[in-house]
Amino acid sequence: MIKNIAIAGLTVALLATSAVAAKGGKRGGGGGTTTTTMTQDQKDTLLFIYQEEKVARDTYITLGNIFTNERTFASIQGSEQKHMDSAQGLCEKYGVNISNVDETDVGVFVVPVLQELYDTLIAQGSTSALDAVKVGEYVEITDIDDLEHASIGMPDDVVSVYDNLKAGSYNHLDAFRNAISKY
Amino acid sequence: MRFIVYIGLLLSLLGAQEHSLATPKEAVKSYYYAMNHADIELLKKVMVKESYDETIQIYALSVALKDKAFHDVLKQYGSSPKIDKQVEEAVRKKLKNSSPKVISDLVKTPLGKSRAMVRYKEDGKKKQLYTSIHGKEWKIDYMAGRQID
Repeated sequence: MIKNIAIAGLTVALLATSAVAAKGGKRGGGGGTTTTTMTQDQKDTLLFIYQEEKVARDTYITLGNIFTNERTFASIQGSEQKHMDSAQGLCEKYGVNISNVDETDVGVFVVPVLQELYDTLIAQGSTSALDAVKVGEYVEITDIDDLEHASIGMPDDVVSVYDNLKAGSYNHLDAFRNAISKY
Repeated sequence: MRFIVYIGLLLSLLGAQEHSLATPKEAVKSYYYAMNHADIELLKKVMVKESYDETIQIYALSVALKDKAFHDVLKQYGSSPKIDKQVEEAVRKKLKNSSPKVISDLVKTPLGKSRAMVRYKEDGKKKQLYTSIHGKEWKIDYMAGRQID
């Protein structure tokens, strides 16, 4: 779900020479819906988001292992696992079968395009600690955008979980931008 | 002369086989043929639009990270055929310079009537792709990872 707006965020995250960019987007949101069921399309999206969460988690684990002095990754890794767990909980609640998704191996993705995304992020982030935290910033901007779009029309409990995930992502974004400002 | 005609016919049949979307496995083989041959037009045919767009943008990402001007182009992907062509051309060049991937051990798992997952090995590593049926053609569809019918 790399959307155009997320690609736009990439400008800030990876290519801008200024250290800290102004915050964009809105916190929370997602809808005020009273829906209690999920469409097939929404279930499909939920499954894909679950798979994408693994890209974020694994990227942070790998970059954190490369740049051990950059503590931002270590402090965020646990939270990213919670993101995956939250997405998994929703999948289970709404009968979205995730048994075909293997999340055990870090940096290994069975869907080729997700492997390509992970490999690209690691190649970019592993060049320096600054590039690594910029990759972190990019991942969070992408996450927030995906969750913003995915919330539309979703049941209340899903919107609530997505809002929590977004709040977490905004915190991570702050942490990465703070780290960027120190280089 | 007849021999040459037979050879030509055989080659065209082989070519047609590479582009088949008659089964989920054939769709996966066609996807890899397109990727390995940097055949963007074929790639477009073997994938549903949303998945194709996502693939193009993700494969273009590594180029954009090294080229600010191209990054600005990538931001506008989907806004005009001209922009899309530019992004597709960058991906085509990237794929052309990439090592071809070998797939083997394809196994289809039906996900109802209109979807199927294909598990396989790509250069010896476990992979899977999801497909959905459109008319008589199976296409790669990232969103088709669950059973619906």
